[in-house]
Amino acid sequence: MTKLPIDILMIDDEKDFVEMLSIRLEDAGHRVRAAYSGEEGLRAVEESEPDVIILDIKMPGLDGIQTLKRIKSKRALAEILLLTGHGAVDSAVEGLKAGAFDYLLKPADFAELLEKLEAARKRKSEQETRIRQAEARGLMRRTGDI
Amino acid sequence: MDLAAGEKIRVLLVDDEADFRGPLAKRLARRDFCVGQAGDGSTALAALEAAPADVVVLDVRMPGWDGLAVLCEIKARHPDAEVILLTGHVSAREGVAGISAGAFDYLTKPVNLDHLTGKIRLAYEKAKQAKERTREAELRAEKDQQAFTKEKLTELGALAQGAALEMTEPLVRISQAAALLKGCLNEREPLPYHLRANMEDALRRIEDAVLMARGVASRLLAFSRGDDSLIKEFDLLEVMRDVVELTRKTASKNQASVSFVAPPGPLFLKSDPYKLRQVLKSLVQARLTSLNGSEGGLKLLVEADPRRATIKIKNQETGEKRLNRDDAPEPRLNLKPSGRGTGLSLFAAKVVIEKLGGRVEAEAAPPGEAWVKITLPRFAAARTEPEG
Repeated sequence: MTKLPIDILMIDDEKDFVEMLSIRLEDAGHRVRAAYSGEEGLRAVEESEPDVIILDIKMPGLDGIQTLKRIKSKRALAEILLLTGHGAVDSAVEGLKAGAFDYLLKPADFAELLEKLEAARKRKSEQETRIRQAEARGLMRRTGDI
Repeated sequence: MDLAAGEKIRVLLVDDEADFRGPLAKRLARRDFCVGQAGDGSTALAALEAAPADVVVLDVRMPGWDGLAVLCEIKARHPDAEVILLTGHVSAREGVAGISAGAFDYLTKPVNLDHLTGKIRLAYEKAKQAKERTREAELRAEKDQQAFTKEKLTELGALAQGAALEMTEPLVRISQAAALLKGCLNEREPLPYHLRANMEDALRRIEDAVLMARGVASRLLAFSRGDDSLIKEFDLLEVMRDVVELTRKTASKNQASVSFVAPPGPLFLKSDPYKLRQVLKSLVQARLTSLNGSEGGLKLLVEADPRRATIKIKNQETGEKRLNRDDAPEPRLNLKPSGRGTGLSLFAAKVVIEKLGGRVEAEAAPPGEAWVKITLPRFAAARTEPEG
């Protein structure tokens, strides 16, 4: 079965890390945009909502958890994977409670990352299917077919 | 969807029409749901704070704070709760907007009870999966944090030990130089008084400083050895797994691998697991660094009989390239004390293991067959005399 490419937004201030991971994800067939700060990430989400967001927890200025909460307040269906270092695992738990899909420790195991991206995208897709079904139901009601 | 015995889905019904809400709550309760009620958004949020619900059934059209605003607030404060919206016949658009805002789904009034209970169960299933995933991630986070703390403590101990032992050599040289100068003072022609007094004063200061530094080194060594050893019974295989985990990055950096082979566990030992882990980690890292890209990696062979356990660290394959003294930051298979052409980490390991009643043996030749073996008593308390 052909896998659909996942539209990914990476929000991380470490440009080298973003570049390397983007290349690997693109080689794996996915589409990647990058934002290098929480503010930039929020603007990117406003422009076009991705399937999955990979979000670094430790960033200067607006940190990962604050960015997560702001994204979730505007885009409730956004699926977010948190990336954290060993010393910030507590923040990852805070992020999970605030609605993140899951977390990974840097440097993330690539196979595990792909697996979680797929799972996150699947969950978003299920919710979007429910929206389309709801729209269809609404349309049918308006046309009087029910 | 099967519920476990005694498991009930907790539902919060939020609707300003009490005549609709009350009977619906009773009907749901008869179908074995655990039902709470709220007449408006604020009451609903307060109810959720007091007693979380699995699924919230929420009327969109309510006076004051409408359903969509309440939905956003619920999702912000209780992201695990799933929300099913109830809309009027002509407001399906609100239902769609609600799903986009995070609701699970919507139903139009008048509600068919079977449809509602079906949706509640599906929503509950989704909420349950999300909670399990969160719980799993939290457990993983706990484990990751513990591994991180263990690693840091191990590094701290090794650092303290390394620093303490490395200080010894320069202190010895400073002491010797001061003694030499003192000798010179006594042998030479009498110096002018003020010069002699100044030099004697300076030498006294040097000796005092050397004593102070030796005190610091002793305290560091005591800290790293932990003279208050934590002797307890533990599974040696858990320590081996930790060591493999803790040295994985070094192995990867040196294009090598590390693994252990042991009899089926558990393998109980009464000793100090923290020091043992620290020693093994230091030794394995030192060996991995010296491999520096040569083939194979390290294998840790664990054997045990009722009296003792042995851990042998050896190369996985033969034909290891000759150890390069210029490359490896941590020599070498030599048990002599620091400053006498030694493996610093191996000498330190010997000190720690002997304190636990064990012994360390090493063999550097023939090439490719280098090994280090640690033997520990299984159930005797740590002794000052090495065993066997």
